[in-house]
Amino acid sequence: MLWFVLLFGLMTLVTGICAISVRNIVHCALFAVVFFFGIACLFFTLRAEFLAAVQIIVYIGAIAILILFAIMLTHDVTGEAAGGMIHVGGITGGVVAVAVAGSIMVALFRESLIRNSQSLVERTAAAPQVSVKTIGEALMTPYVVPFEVVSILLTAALVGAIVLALEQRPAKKEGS
Amino acid sequence: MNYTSLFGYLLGEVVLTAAAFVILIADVMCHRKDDVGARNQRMAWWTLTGLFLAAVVYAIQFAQGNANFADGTLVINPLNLFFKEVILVITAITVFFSMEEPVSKHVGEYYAMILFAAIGMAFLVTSENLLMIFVSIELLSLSLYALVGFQKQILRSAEGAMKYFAFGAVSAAFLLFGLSYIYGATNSLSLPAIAETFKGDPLMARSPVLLIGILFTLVGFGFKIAVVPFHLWAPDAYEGAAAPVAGFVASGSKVASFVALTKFLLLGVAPAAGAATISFPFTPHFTPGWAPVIALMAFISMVWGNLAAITQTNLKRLLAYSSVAHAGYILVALFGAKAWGQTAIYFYIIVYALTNLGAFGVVTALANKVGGDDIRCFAGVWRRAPGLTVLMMIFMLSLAGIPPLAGFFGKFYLFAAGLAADQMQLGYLWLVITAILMSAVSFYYYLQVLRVFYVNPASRGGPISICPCQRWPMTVIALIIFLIGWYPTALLDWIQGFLQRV
Amino acid sequence: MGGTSFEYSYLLILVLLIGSIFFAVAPLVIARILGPKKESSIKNATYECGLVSKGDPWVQFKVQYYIFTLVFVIFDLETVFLFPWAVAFNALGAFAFVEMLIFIGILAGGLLYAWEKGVLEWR
Repeated sequence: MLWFVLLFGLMTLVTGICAISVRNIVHCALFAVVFFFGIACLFFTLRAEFLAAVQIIVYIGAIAILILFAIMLTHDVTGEAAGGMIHVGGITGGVVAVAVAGSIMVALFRESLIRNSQSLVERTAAAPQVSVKTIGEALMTPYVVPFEVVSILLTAALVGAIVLALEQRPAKKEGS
Repeated sequence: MNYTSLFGYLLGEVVLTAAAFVILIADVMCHRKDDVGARNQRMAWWTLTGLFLAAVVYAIQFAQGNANFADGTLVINPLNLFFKEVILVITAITVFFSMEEPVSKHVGEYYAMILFAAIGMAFLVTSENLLMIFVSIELLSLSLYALVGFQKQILRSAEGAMKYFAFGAVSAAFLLFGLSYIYGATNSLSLPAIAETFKGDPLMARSPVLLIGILFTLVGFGFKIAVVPFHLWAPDAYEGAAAPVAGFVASGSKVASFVALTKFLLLGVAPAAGAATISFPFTPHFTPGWAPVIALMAFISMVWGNLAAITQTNLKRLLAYSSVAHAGYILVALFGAKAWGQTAIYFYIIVYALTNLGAFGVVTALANKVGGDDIRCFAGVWRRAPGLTVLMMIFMLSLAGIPPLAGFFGKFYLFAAGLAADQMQLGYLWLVITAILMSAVSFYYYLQVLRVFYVNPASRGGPISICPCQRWPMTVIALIIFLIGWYPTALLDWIQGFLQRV
Repeated sequence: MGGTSFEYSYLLILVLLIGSIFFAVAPLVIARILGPKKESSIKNATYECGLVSKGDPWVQFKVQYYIFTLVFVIFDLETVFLFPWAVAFNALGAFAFVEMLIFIGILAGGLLYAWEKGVLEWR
């Protein structure tokens, strides 16, 4: 199992780095698809089957298409060479990313020290397996208010996106 | 579980949602052919009707008892209802401000988005559950991103919305990640239940996983309340947004986010505070927890917000940086004893939101008529709109914290709470001293704005007529600021009374 | 591998995944190895017959594609919530039905708005 986690983790990491560093944004989007799939695989290894399925349905099935269509709206797919990642923004971003990842790892490590080597993984492994049915019951019974708010949230997103996207483009027309 | 009573508790939000949908669909179905200005006024009145009905519902709920539904997803108590009313008032004033001139030709969507944001705020102040807090913050943020970008024809607006959205998306990710860690460490989502876990488990208060969760959550909240270093979106978003929207972002969203943050820190994870005190002959004492993070954010926000505000030439950007500084002041009171700190924060956030809303109202009323929202455009407005300039003086002096106005007492209570922190050992004196010094710095730029309004030679043009829909709300705000300034204890007693009945 | 029945239940999917990747890649590789290669400038042209294409093949598409996808994403997310509801439906009773009706009703309101706004018309 551990090997699968490492394999999927590596896959996610590599495609994630590719998605932000490749010059052609269509390729970026395709790398992002593999990245989303890697995340879904990681959810599988964590036994969150429903989450993994949702990840595939929503991110690969819908968000990736959205990204591709957004790219189709742009004028040009290959921009100027970004000059690698060695510039002020890239270095700051890298430092922040390393700091975030490092602090998470240190926290997880120290947690197991404090708890007499009973790590968080062991404690959470004892948690009962969550089935789709449990999720459905939780959504319908205690968490019904957030559930309904999500529908308002989605509608607000729909309305906002339509208003922002639905504008007659300026007279300059190309193709189509 | 009783669904009928749940519906009763939710009635206010149901009314707001219904109003939003009626406006959204009625505008596009029935009034598509009408003139934009007329549609704008009609939809504004519909929105106000919805807000009024919701306010009546909340007023009735005051009389009923407290309720806590399902793990704190919905907590009805006088304090929360009071804040819901405050949010409705702020929303209504925003609607009044947008009445004269439509922000965009998509009128129905504009008011619907304002109502959606108001629903998000109402849920945010009423929930004590991490999941609910996240969902309502998202509803609020999403509506505000769209509202900021409503004036698509203006490049500045699109840029502001884009920056707001990009920062918001990243900080939402941090927030969700942090909340998931808190859930993982404490195994509960409701704030009181999280507080309970500290009692049973002495190791919990210094559990690294919990602390990292709190840290990431604070990144998310830091974005919402715009404290340094998560403030970068604020100047651009405020500058790009239409003035009423900027006022709405600066007041309503701030109130809701600060209430949620205060509850999260003082109700939920208070034992994990740690310390960042400096006692008298400079002996700093740090213990890991949220206190050092908050202290640092407060310190940088006060210094950077005030210094950056001095150099601004655009009034909306100046107000943005001043709001960063004010967020820093408010954070100082988080170290106070629980009841006192909460009272001071709630008092100040209400005063601050109203004052800021008024200041943005002045910008709304004048910007188009003086040709822009750069500070120099307002030169000599005193001769052209004397009444409005007096109102602006009240707002600016209250923001600066000049004694007879509400802002002074707000700051006084905040800093007093900061002094009383650390069991009266004056451990946070360093923050309070910074706050007072920086308040003195802030006089400079607030008075600078007033100087332009009053002293600088007038530009051409005759008297400016102000729509009553803008004049009256601003006058009412100024009156409230005056009244709170004269009887600060009235509002204070009110809040304390609500806190006791929680 | 130390897996349990949970992991083994997904082993089949893994096998399927590897199989499908194999069937996609294998013909390409085999063709590359076995196929004779005689390259010429005509063979390498985009079209062996017909006109040489001019200009950038990349055109800017209509914004409507994007709006359609947006609507699709919203309702795709709705199905994510429908699924656990459907699985747990028998255990929940009438109120769950009402809750889902409200949920769908709110989203249908959004759809009605989009419809009336003319977003769904192809222009």
